[in-house]
Amino acid sequence: MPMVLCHAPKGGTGTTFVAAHLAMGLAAEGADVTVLTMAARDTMALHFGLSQAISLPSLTAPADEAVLVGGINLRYWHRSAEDADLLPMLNDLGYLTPGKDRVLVVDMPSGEFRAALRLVEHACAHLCTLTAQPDTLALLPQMFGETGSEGLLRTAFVINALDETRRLSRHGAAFVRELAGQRLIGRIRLDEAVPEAMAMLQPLSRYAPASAALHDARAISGAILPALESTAASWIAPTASRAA
Amino acid sequence: MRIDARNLLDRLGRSDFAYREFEDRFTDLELWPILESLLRDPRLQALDPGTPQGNGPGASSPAAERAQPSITPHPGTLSGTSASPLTKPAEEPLKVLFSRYEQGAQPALPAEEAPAPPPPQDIRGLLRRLSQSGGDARGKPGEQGEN
Ligand SMILES: Nc1ncnc2c1ncn2[C@@H]1O[C@H](COP(=O)(O)OP(=O)(O)OP(=O)(O)O)[C@@H](O)[C@H]1O
Ligand SMILES: [Mg+2]
Repeated sequence: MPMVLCHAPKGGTGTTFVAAHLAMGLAAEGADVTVLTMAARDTMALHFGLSQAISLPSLTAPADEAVLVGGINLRYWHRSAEDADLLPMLNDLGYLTPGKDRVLVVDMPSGEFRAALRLVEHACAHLCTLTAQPDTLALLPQMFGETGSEGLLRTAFVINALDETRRLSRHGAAFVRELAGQRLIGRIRLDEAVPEAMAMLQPLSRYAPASAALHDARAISGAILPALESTAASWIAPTASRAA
Repeated sequence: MRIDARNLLDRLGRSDFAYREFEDRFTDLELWPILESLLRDPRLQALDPGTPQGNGPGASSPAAERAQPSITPHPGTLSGTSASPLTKPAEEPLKVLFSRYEQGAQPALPAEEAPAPPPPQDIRGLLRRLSQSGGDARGKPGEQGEN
């Protein structure tokens, strides 16, 4: 099964929210999805309508301890994300081979950028959730510099919490659009229903089926699908000049 | 969702509200200094934006279509401008580029307004020129553009 790495240069942009909805979208497409959250302080379960009191089982916990929500297997990696055992273990568990039937969605906290760098070359896709805010955009050069062009080959971007009634939000989003080109695979509107659903301990799809953010987030999984089976260095066709 | 909003949506036969149009006047536009400084940063060139719409795998998805950079100028759609912003790329390139951001910031175009071929000036070209010119953002008139 291929791995989709969800990681952003800035915290709070919605990486966990997007990872949860990517998992739900891929599950709806018929994939067998495992979500692996790497955050020491984790809120993933809330996006699935679970209480924060539920503690997720470790990646290595036996199947009878599994927490399954809508068929999605929620797991937790409790050791350091930089742990040398992680990659070999993912490989042994079959998490690093292409195919769209089984998928691993990894939610990596923004601070764990070294671990993200190590995982990204084994991921079929890296999903980077940005907001259009200046402090998020300000971190892009550093992220690009550290990751390098090779590391960015599988990167796709989502702009989250977009409020197009705000000038700065529109300008920031337009900047990302121009910069990321084909790599911008979605925009998710700012939507109060997102926190409200968590407060109701309900998945967004149940609490607010008409939610704008839900509608937008659902489109992301479809855009990622081509990456799952891709064996090329980049699932997004490079520009002609670079391909040459 | 508030019940009054819900009722309105039901009456309209829609499932959600989409923000449509908040056009800025051309004269109100400004390039935020942070974006200007980002544009000068050569590290941003590490990202390959992929092939234009139609060839990339992402291009076929609805998300990609909605997120598609609207780099096509639509002359005259900004209040206060009659000429296409792209007719004068040599002058004030950043401002010109930014006026295109405004175009890009608009919601997805209806299907019939299919994107035309990309204009000659793009953000990458601008990034390249900026880094080559050693950070002189405005460049020298005549150095850039087609004339
Ligand atoms: N589209 C949206 N509209 C409204 N609120 C949102 C949206 N997306 C995320 N949020 C809210 O933003 C906050 C941060 O989201 P999330 O936890 O997914 O961010 P994160 O990037 O994973 O943060 P961290 O870096 O701390 O892990 C949450 O309170 C979430 O409810
Ligand atoms: Mg998170």
